Amino acid sequence: MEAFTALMGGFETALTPLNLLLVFIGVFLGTAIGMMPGIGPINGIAILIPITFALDVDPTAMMILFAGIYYGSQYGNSISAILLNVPGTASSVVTTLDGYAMAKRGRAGPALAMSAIASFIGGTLAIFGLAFLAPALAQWAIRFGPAEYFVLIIFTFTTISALTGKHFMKGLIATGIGLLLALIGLDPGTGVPRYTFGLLPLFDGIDFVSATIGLFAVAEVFVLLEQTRAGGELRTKVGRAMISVTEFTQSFWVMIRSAVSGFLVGVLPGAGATIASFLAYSNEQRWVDKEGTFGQGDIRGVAAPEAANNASVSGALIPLLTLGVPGSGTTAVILAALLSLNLNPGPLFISQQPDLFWGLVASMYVGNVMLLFLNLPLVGLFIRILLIPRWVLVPAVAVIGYVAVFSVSGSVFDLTVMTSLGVLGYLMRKLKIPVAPVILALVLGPLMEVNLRRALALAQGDWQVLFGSGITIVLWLMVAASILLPILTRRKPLEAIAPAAKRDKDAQDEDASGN
Amino acid sequence: MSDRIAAAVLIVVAVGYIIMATGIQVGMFSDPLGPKVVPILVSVFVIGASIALLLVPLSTTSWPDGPTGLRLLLCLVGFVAYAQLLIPLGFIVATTLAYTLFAVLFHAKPWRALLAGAVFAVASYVLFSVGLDLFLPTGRWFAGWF
Repeated sequence: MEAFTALMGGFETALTPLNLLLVFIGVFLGTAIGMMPGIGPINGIAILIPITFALDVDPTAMMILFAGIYYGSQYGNSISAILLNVPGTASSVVTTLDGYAMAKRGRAGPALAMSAIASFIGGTLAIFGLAFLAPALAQWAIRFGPAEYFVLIIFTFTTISALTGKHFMKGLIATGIGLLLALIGLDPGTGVPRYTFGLLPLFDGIDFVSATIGLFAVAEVFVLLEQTRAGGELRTKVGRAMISVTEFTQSFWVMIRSAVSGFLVGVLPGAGATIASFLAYSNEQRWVDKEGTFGQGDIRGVAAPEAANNASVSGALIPLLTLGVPGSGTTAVILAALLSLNLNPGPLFISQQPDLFWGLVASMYVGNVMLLFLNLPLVGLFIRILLIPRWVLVPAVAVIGYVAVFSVSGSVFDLTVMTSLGVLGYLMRKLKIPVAPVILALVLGPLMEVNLRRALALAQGDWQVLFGSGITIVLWLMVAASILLPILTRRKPLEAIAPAAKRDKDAQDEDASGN
Repeated sequence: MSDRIAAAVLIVVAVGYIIMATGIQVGMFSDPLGPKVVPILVSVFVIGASIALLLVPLSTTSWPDGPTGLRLLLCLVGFVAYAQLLIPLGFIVATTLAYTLFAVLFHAKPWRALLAGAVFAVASYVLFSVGLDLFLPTGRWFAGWF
């Protein structure tokens, strides 16, 4: 009941004209960004961060905008998956299996409609989960001291290393690279410069916006320049974006189950929308695919991953807001933006910033309704974005990234950092080292160090404090499990689940979108 | 082979980090751990993971051939030059040039690339500078125009 009253208050915040406009801009941009292969929500958010700072947008409005891009992209990514056989972001890789098969049979309209409806059901159900689970988890998380935080951050690192990319070891190396970059700058404890080589602009550390745009957007330009393969033929004849009542009832429980599993996967650090969609697809394949029609244009094969990946987004906001520990590249960037505004997400965040939290939750309901309209009757307009030639789009994205960084910092140095990290990102992509863990480690690295040093200072330097409470021991066991599982199973869970999607997954670098 | 080279480079960097960490000056008042320990721990972790990759390379990498490599290099030159020319030439000229170069690298016809670049540069200047009131360098040639 308490949550209900708070949520009503949230609607008052979300329904102000400015916030309504920002929800709309967010979900519109999110759909467009999600649709364009190679450009994920992490780029969109990173580019908008300096702009929102410069415009002095208040934090609630900023979060509403960023969340809109984040969940909006999970709607848009299936459009290119269905029409082009190229997933807009990695989390719609499995949607290509049945979605494109349907489009080839001239049933692109129903596929798009199913994807929008499943996204809506997954998205809205998961917001309930967010509204009820987040405050509960926050109350429990009050027990977290520095030692618990330190181990939780280690757990986040090991899970993201294990779950993104093909090889666990390369995930760990990516995390290591991010931690090395995070060490640059003034030491948070004593204020001594470390690894700055006497360069004044490095004293504040590597700017996370430049780093994100460099590692993702600039690197993407190099990657796109190298590949010539354009994907399947674009099917612009969509027909009516509608599904029949039978198709809806047939898919109803598929969507509900996938939404629940997707939400829970989203809450886990390190496992985001991509894992959620793969897991839902394979579950449903086992549950309902009695005739073996999955993969040949079965509409339930579109419903499952789309409900799951949208639900996972709301799930992913929970550790971000209640623990202050994000689980993915995109949420790490959002955390960094909040920290720059001196807002520290954590157990007390919801009670200290009720307007922000409940306003955000309410705006997500509003945003999902808007997305349903954008993606059902207006989907024909969005498809035109896919017709923009690459030579127009890619330079535009590159230039906008530069403008966003430069217009606010006015620093040529930041642009140099951005270009260098673009080269690093390209090399990592070529070497099949995932990029998302770098951003996560860059943002969480300083928090890891601060919490470790605080824990040891409180315990007068006694390392046993790191194993001193029940929570730390459980967390260490979880760390051990996240390290041992990938080694013991030897196969990446994703490939075991959906081998058919492997080819596309290799072609489309899986973490390029930073889900 | 590429995996091994990458691992070797990372080991060198991490060893460098450890050497630099030992040189960090610690003040009189510091927490028990101080500023040196975490960099050393992180470097040791990176060295460990890199040695594993050095011993057991995990994947092969196919690098671009000559012509593609040249285009990538031109693209990089474009990024570096764009950053350096932004202030002297001003946003509109620098952006037009950068956009044109990138578009041509993506197989656009030069005149179409130039036209699109100019339109994009002016439009984004108006959006960012006039619309959003952000700072963009006008450049010497255009001072006084806007």
